[in-house]
Amino acid sequence: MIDNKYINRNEKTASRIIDGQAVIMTLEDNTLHTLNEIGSMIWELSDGVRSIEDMAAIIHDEHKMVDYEKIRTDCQAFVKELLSKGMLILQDNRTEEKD
Amino acid sequence: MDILAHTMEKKIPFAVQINLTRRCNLRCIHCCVEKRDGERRIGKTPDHELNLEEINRILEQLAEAGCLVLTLSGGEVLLREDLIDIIRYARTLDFAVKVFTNGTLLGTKEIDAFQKLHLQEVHVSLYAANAKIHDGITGVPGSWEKTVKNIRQMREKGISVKIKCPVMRQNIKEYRKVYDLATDLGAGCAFDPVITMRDDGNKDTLNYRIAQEDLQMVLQDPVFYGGEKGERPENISCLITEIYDDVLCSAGHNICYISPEGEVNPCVQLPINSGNLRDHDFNWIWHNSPDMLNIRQMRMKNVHGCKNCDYLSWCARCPGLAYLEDGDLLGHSSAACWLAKAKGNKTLIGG
Ligand code: SF4
Ligand code: SF4
Repeated sequence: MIDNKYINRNEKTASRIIDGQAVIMTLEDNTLHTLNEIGSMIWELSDGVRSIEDMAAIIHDEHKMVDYEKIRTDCQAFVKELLSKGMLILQDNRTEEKD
Repeated sequence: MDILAHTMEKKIPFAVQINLTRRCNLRCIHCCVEKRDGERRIGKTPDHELNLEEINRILEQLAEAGCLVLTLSGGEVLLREDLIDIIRYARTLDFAVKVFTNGTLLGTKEIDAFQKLHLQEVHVSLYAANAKIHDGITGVPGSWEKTVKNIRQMREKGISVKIKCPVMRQNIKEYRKVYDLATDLGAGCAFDPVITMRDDGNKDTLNYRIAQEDLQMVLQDPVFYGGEKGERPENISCLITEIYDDVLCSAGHNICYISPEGEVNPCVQLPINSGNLRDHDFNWIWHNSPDMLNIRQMRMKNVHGCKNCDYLSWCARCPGLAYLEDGDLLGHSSAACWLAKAKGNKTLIGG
């Protein structure tokens, strides 16, 4: 179940935030992907420490007028899409946070 | 957003090439890099080359400026004993890293590191499917064998490899065989007929360019464009695919080059020293250097000497080559004329 997992970036990517948008290269197929605002936030929050719920809570904090449940389902759909394109991976365990 | 158009418009250095050294263990006849006296061995970084600390600082500045695609080349980059440290730091900063090498000096340690660090691609120079012809060009017996063995090992580890094969008088009969060998090895390949002059102004290398009739012939061969994958020779592709707002090309708009000594140029092919990273930070040079600003305001309409040219529609003029070979980056380019004529005549004859 995707909701119990921690979301992390696939190591086989390279990325840069350019003018607020995440530009990601999937290195196995040399393809460039540009994410929209929400996608870019998800990308930045994908650190192996957060689950979809954690991400949705953070995004909700910044976009209070949008319903939390809507943000959560959007996050879930987005994560699934980025997983299918090889940009993200799911982890059972949390990555140790660095100091 | 179309990231290439966006970075062109906003002047973000999206792709940067750093040549880490001029040193090389081979002596390729057509090489465009001037070698400093006798520096052919692996060893301590000579003082004139940027050191690891300087390079790491430059990488931080490039990441900050929005660079994603980083090419590390030489000389022969494997002569830098800190190459893996440089790549590791570049990957920590999340660059997509390409390495250009002659492939002879790769050992298990380097290949393992390339695999673990997830390089975007390794480009390897290979001039023939025949050892004798290749070694005749590199000037070093045994180089073909090492290069091919190392390409094979990289492919076994799943590393993406592209064979780069300049096509010249010495190896024109070989390029189709190189294509077959590349296919066999599971590597991509790209051919390029444009042999450039040396960066110290020596033009001897231009004698190795193939004859006009041969050029016309190879340009009709789909294999020359990488077969079905249809790739065009790289040094002109930047013109065809990224032209924006009538600018000359991408040089200084969203790409640039850094020399082993820290000079910033608008492109590896356009040696206009716009400032040194030992004196200024990257951001200052990129946004304030008069040379960089000058390149940026040039437009195709400023090009002179080409207006009535019959071959204009076949021409992929590179301002860098025009500057290097003909002394005027806004003038005609003999390299472009040579290519455009072969393409135009081919079309006019072949229909
Ligand atoms: S100077 Fe030449 S090689 Fe460099 S970007 Fe322009 S056209 Fe391409
Ligand atoms: S560079 Fe040569 S081929 Fe190209 S337009 Fe100018 S004169 Fe014609």
